[in-house]
Amino acid sequence: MNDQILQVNNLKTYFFTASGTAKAVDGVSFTMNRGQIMGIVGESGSGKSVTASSLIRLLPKTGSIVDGEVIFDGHDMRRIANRELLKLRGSEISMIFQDPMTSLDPVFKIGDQMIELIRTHKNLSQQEAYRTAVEMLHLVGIPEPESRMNAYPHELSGGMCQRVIIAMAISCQPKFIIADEPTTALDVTVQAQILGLLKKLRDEMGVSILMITHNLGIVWEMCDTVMVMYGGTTVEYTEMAQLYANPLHPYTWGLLDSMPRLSAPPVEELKAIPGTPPDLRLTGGCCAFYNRCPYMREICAKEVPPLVEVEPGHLVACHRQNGDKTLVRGEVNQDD
Amino acid sequence: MTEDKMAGTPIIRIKNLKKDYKIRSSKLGQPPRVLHALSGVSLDLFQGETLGVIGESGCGKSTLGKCLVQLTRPTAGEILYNGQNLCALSNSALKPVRKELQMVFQDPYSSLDPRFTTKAAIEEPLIIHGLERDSKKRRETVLAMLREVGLDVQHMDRYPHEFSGGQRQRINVARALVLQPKVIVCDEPVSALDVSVQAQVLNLFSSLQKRHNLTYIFISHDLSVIKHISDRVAIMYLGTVVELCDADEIYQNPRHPYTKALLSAIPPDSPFEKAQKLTLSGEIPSPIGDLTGCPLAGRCPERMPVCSQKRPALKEISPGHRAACFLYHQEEYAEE
Ligand SMILES: Nc1ncnc2c1ncn2[C@@H]1O[C@H](COP(=O)(O)OP(=O)(O)OP(=O)(O)O)[C@@H](O)[C@H]1O
Ligand SMILES: Nc1ncnc2c1ncn2[C@@H]1O[C@H](COP(=O)(O)OP(=O)(O)OP(=O)(O)O)[C@@H](O)[C@H]1O
Ligand code: SF4
Ligand SMILES: [Mg+2]
Ligand SMILES: [Mg+2]
Repeated sequence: MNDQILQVNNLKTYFFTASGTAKAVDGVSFTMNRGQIMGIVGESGSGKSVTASSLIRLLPKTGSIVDGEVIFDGHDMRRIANRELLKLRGSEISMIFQDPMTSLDPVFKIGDQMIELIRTHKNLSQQEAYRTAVEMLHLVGIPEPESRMNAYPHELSGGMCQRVIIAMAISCQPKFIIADEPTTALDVTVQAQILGLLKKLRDEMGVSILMITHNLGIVWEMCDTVMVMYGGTTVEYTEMAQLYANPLHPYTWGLLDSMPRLSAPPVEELKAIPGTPPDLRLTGGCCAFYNRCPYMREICAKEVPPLVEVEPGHLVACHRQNGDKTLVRGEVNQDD
Repeated sequence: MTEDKMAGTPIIRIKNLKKDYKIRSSKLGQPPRVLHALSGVSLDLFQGETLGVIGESGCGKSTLGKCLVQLTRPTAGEILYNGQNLCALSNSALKPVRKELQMVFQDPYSSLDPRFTTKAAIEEPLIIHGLERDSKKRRETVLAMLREVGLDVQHMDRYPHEFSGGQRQRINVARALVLQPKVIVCDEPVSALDVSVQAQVLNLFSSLQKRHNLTYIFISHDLSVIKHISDRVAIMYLGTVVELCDADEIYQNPRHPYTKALLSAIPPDSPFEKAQKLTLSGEIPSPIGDLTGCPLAGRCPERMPVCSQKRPALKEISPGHRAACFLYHQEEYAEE
């Protein structure tokens, strides 16, 4: 059996809007093995969610995949017929959307929505589907699930809606889960419970999980590999422990430095990366990070840095950090 | 908290605040049941301080915030602001007060009107309250606000769907700040943001607070964020405050068993830190129906016989440190 479940090569997804072409995803590459948990981290607006939606071709009308390759378990996801894609989406791949309201309809009770979803994908009676739904709500830690089956989404708290979505996503026993910020609305105790549940699905059922998060603590706790995105591109991709021990891209450094730490002594001001994120209509032809990067050189504004394997399994896209040349973190004025 | 902040009279006094919701019964013909979202919260809020609020998902944090800015009317209790009980005011009497009490919402998706451009969204409150009548000046105000939250002129004329989650949340923050309120309830204002933007927004909150002597209620699940931003912290569980003290104290000297469990569930600062987790076993209690005893009794590792019979009051257990737990005092909560 092939170990690899997902391969993404140089994926590009653009939005064609009245104000111009937004290159939301502009060169993303990674691979995932079966039973792996991979994390995607990166700045807000860097294209994490659009990457995830592109994998299963769930894009709004204005967006389209313009280049690249997505191979899921032998299927060429860009070319696969719609009918087959729909089947895959329900039975093999589940997506937990960042915005709960993409998956929850405000005018229907959550129980009815769950039962309908379960019955579209599984051959179950109304009764059995009801029981499955209650059991799933229980699994994600919703107290008195039977009473809550009757609730409309606005009658639940933010974190409860998020958990309903997770319950829906796992109710059809998918083998691949895309989880876009699945625990942002949860307190740490419930979060731990949900992460434990996802881990259990991986350990016991071999489910592969692509997890988008901005919580590095979750990455350290959950992920096998990590991809860092900036301005629509993959800037770094490696094993989790490697990213912690030896991060190489200047953006990754900025990201790690701005994380508030509980163990650290109090500071007046948190470190943030100065400057603003790039205008995605203007990116391309350069390193997306160049105008905020303290290590920037002339070439950075002129050429796209290629994604280079600088050590086994460790890919970085930076002109000054490509194996031949190396940067020292924190020393801004070093020579090439 | 710093002495001078405590010294003043409170800007807001919350007294025994309760909020009930009626929920439909799961079986036909049965009477509706009562959900106690808040069951008696008392708090003082001092001018210029940040009160952090943490607690289990569904414990009533957003409800507390909404009651405070009078988006929803509490079932019982008082909220004293400038000597007036907001709960007793008519809607028209509330209007001038509303400008001074703002809320930044939890869900960055549904809180922005899809038909409004960024500029329209941010200037709307100015127009409603008749604050800046000159449209050119208004544009400048909006742009300045946008820049403060890390967006720019290129984002002015775009619609919410063209933004990522984090970008939308920044627009929400700008929208609340533009009215220059006195008290802001921030309901997970940075949960949807990546750490670097999070750092920017937190720094922004701090600098605005210093400049305008703002008072914040800051709801967050991220304990490192809470530690960084708060002067005092309230820990909530199932509709009540179970612990209240200075921000440093909560991390150094947590007293309530729920607080202890919460602290031990924090994701690690590094991949090599495998903390011993203190998990709460047992069913998460439901806010539906009446409860006797301490809300944590069913899951508490330190439970005593009295805990399931009586409800502990929130009492001072050392100077400036309050907890609602029979381990520290025998006083019970007076249900009226
Ligand atoms: N429908 C759309 N039309 C135009 N632009 C869009 C659309 N959807 C997303 N974008 C743009 O694509 C970029 C990437 O968005 P995406 O939602 O993938 O970001 P993200 O990395 O998930 O950010 P966050 O962490 O804030 O969720 C953003 O700059 C956004 O403005
Ligand atoms: N309109 C409503 N009708 C019925 N129940 C409601 C309504 N709004 C809130 N509730 C209930 O009140 C309780 C508290 O909800 P609230 O949104 O305040 O929680 P929270 O502490 O903000 O949680 P989270 O961290 O998940 O956002 C929940 O059990 C919720 O289901
Ligand atoms: S390519 Fe240049 S601008 Fe981009 S991260 Fe590397 S040094 Fe900085
Ligand atoms: Mg996203
Ligand atoms: Mg909430």
